Amino acid sequence: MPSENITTKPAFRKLRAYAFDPSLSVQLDTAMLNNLVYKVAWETLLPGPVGDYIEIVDWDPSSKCFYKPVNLDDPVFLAQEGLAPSESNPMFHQQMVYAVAMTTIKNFEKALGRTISWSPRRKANGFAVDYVHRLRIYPHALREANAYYSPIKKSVLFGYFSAAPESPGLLMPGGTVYTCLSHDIIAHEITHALLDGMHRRYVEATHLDSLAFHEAFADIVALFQHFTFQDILYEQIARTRGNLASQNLLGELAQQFGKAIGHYGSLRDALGGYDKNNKWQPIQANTKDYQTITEPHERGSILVSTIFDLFINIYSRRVADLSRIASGGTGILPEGSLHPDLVTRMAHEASKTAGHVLNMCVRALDYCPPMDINYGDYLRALVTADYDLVEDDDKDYRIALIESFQKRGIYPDSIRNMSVESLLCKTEEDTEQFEDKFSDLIEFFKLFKEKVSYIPDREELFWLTNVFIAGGDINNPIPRTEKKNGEAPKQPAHNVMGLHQRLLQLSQKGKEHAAAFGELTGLILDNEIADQRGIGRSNVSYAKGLPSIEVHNLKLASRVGPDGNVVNQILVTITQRRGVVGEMDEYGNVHINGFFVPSNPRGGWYELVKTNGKEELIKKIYENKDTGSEGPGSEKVLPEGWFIFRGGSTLIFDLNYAFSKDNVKLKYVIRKSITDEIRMKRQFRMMFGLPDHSLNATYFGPAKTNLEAEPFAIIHKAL
Amino acid sequence: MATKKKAAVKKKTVKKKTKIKSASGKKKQTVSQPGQLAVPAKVTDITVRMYAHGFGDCFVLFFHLGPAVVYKMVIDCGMLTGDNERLKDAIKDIAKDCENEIDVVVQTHQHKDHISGFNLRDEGKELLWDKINVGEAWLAWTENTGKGGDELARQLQKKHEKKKMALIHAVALYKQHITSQRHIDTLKDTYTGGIYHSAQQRYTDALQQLLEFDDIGRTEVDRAAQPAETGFGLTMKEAMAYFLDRNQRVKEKKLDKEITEISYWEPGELADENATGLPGINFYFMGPPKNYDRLKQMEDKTHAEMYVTDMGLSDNFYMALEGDEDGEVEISPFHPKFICQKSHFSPRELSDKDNVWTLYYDKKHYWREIDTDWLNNAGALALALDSYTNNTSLVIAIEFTESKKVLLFVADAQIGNWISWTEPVDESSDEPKLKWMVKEGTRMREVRATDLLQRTVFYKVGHHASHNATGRKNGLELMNSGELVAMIPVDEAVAKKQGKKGWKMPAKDLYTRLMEKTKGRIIRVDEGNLIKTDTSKIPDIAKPTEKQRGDFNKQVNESKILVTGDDGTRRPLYWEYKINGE
Repeated sequence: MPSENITTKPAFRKLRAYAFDPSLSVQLDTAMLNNLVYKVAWETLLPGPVGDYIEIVDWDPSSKCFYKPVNLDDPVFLAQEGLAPSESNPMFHQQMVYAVAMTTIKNFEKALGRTISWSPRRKANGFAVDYVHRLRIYPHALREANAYYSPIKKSVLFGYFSAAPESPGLLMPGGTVYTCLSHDIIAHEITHALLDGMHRRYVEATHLDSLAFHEAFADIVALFQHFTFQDILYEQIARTRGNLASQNLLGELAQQFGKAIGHYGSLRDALGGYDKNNKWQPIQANTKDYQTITEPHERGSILVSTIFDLFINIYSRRVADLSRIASGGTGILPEGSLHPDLVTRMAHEASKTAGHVLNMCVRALDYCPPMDINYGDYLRALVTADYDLVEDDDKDYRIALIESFQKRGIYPDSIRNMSVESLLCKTEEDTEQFEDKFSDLIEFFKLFKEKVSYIPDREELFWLTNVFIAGGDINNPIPRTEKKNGEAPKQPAHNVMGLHQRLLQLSQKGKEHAAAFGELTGLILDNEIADQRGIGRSNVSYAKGLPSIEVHNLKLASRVGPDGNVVNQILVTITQRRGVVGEMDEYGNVHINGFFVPSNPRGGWYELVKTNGKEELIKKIYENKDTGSEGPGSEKVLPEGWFIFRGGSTLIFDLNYAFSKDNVKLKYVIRKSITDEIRMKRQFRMMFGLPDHSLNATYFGPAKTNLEAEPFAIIHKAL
Repeated sequence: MATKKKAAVKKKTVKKKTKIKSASGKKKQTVSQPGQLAVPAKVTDITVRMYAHGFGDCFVLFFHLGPAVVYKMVIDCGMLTGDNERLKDAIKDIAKDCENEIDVVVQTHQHKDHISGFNLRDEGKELLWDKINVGEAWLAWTENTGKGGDELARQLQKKHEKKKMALIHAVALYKQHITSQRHIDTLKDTYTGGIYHSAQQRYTDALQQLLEFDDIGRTEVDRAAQPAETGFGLTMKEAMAYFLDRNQRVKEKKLDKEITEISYWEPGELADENATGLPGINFYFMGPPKNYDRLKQMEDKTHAEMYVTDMGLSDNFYMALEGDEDGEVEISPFHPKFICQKSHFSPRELSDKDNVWTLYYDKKHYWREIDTDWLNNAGALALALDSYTNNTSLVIAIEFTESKKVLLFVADAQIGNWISWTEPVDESSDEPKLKWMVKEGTRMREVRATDLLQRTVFYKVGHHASHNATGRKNGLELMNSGELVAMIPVDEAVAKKQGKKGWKMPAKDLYTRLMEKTKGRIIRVDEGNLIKTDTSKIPDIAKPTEKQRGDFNKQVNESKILVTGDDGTRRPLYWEYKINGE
């Protein structure tokens, strides 16, 4: 049927789903409306649903059966906003997972100003990558109170479990709880996948904050996305008495959202609790928290409550006038129900604010370092991202933000005072000497922007970006092996030199230049010391023998600010890895003993030896096969206490500047230097020094050593 | 709450006094003649002997009345791995030194490292324990699952068995899957797939070693992969039922011995002089708690850590493997009409590479299959089961009635068991649920667990000194006696070889705290008396004074017989420590 010619595609597909876990809806003190209609961006769907971003495969391995896939394009479902919510129908489960996952994905795209991508699948040798077009979702994969994102399978697995607590008897307790029916759990897990797609090094536990950040960020997205549903807020606000602007109202609601299942709720306990009079009270922030709390969940809750603080702060400012109007200026409401118009306005403000905070939090990811993130880095990213888009902070959001972090004792490394100016990831003084050096890149970046701006296909974008990084023919970016049948014929070739080669060339203009450029980017680029400092050398034809670096990412970000200003930026991340050998003495001091080349551990290591006050690196072959270790199960060729250390930076180039001045300006450098010894020692302590007192650790080894398998499966098990 | 020990107790009190004398063969005993000053009226000392045969518990307690030994008690007799000959040597040594007469044998809980000795046979295929006369056997109420036994115990045992079978099957399935060629090939092709695979292998090994506590070995697990096979983990059940079985054989005249009287004890009960015929000694039974929530509690919630309580475990997990009570295997939580087969899809649909069935079953997508992921929960189940059995440990406090000094034997009790001793009646009060009323002359004295802990002068450290088998706030921290001494049945060399990265036994911070509390007066299976020759191994804060060291060393003794440990070192067959009751 040639209907496409006459009508335009619909903008949305409406799908019914639960607003809360069905297991929770009976617990809430009133029968709140639990059915929501999600408006999901339109796309053609295959049964599953299998769409452009996700594929829902409902194989239940413990029951050894496959559930019928729902066909949402079936007119029957199109006509009635999908299936009616039902716990007993797995096809509805598929629909709900689809609706929430797509909502989350679209929220990310909106905030980032570009299409998202999943983290690619890496093949055995570590370099070849396979494009992953869709995230896979298994709604009924596990029989436990758990759900997790598997980085190695690029899949999200949801579990289901018996509702009643275990009893001494053998009888099967009544109901079953499905984690795939909780908005918060779905949003949380999808966020893990999205974050992994943007920063795949964040899965590595190199800092106390690393895993906590992953958890907290996923919770923040789930929480604020939930708050964007105005209908739910309406119900809650309509029941309010007393002080409308009070933060307790929304804090309590946030906590109720999270109550549903296990840890997804316990994190929210960070926001507050009920006092003796059964009144909800927020927990007072403590400046010592950040120093003293080390367990990932509790630590994660510090960040969640920080961001929630910010949300309340903004919200209170926005409704102060409404509250005054409604209470005749007293701020105290009269007895009786609130005026419905007032409720609508307040719910609107709350949901708007939630959307705003969500945007801010996601957008900040572009301004984060490529690895080893800590809360301080995230604060800087939040401030910078906001500054970049909204230069005039007339509502003092940024001050509020800094205050929330300060209250909990979170300070970025090496920042002298907590003002907006000093928190910005500015680089002017750093980059001055490179002012003209990047001019070579201008045409390249312009070409990149021109090429990627109008590509709707995520797969093509992925391969094209790869060509821009590694060099090659940008007119035919998709490798022949990946080509689908019947695709467009080969275009005339347009070969470009890749960014990787360009950056290496930039760095290799003499020893001093290499050092300065290395200083700027946080890398070791000096050719002479690449081996003994544990970096190793590149193998690619155009850079043979040069210190190996990786261009991790190349992205275009185009965003429109509230004043209509357009921000066009190129984001580049370059990284290096370095083999380090460390040791902790009996007093708990960490010493760096030497380095090795990660790609060749058998080539020996370079021991750091001090002779007459001078430090020297002496090459040694490690042969003590009893105490050494190279990795689990394999031959032992390295001394105990070795680890892989990463460094590098995110470089943000301003294209607007380029268009006006015909020059590329390096606007921000977000750096994690590979020569930073403090960071090295901190990572060592994180990997080897922390005690783990769990029962699991007694028999299976400390949790962090289990992370190599499924990092999030273990973390989430604290239900 | 006090002793509701049925008729058995009364019967015992009458019978005991005479029986005790015959069992220990000390006819000259003068309990009933307080007039003679030459022989003390009450037990004066207790010698605690810890066998050093390997990774496992085997204790003998000798109760002295002046120079004479009047009562002999054995607590556990087992070993986890290693050469069984060493355990046999220990049993033979017990038989010799006790002159084949033992008053009471305690089987604390059904784990190999505590009871495997009761299955051991000599060259003539005779059970070694059959040769020894045993007056009584003491077990926890959780073992009272026979006819007319405890209803809760029966329910719990049934459930526990079911879960154990589920675990064996889960491990078998997991192992089968990860060793399949398809799985190996897929991981070979994946970045860090090798690390992933070796993590999986180590995980299987760790699970396997946990099953060792139930004496379920590799071959048994492999057998469980075959659907038709049944009957796993029977040996430790046999060992636990040794005395029941023995009595049966005595009745049937297959064994020429007297009937061993079996008692099942509950927390809050007490065996005093009337019950045992032993003057000046009270036995307090503290655990296992009669409360399922406590029995399954593995971790202290106030301890900040990753693994809390149930670790996501849910009944539907083991039901997928073993079915419910009737053995019905529960297939899916959904109505069968929602289940589909390949035939649900037309050939044309299947040829679409984006068809959902094709997405799962096409070779190209093998790397995303999830057939084993759900079985990862086996680890949680294994820990839960292991902890459960440890929590069913019979915990005994032995008190000198005169000096009120206490010897505490906790077997492998984990946190749930410890907490139950001091748990208050309700949240607002300090009054513990558990207390004993003890007759003292004409008066009644109330005894609480905190009293017993505070008066403890000898502590048999729980579960080879793992972190979660010694309570802190309401446990070790209450043991404030200046005389406190600890014995740890731990063989670190064996523990290190277990699990993914070695078991953490002894747990470092617990061990350090123990040293501080005891001032280094610790005797370990593998290292013996830590301060025998010097105190260089003891941290400064825990260093004993010269007098403390000297006094302690005088009380420590060791066997002349040497055995070879798993690490190849020679060590005495047992260590002894004599506690003065004054």
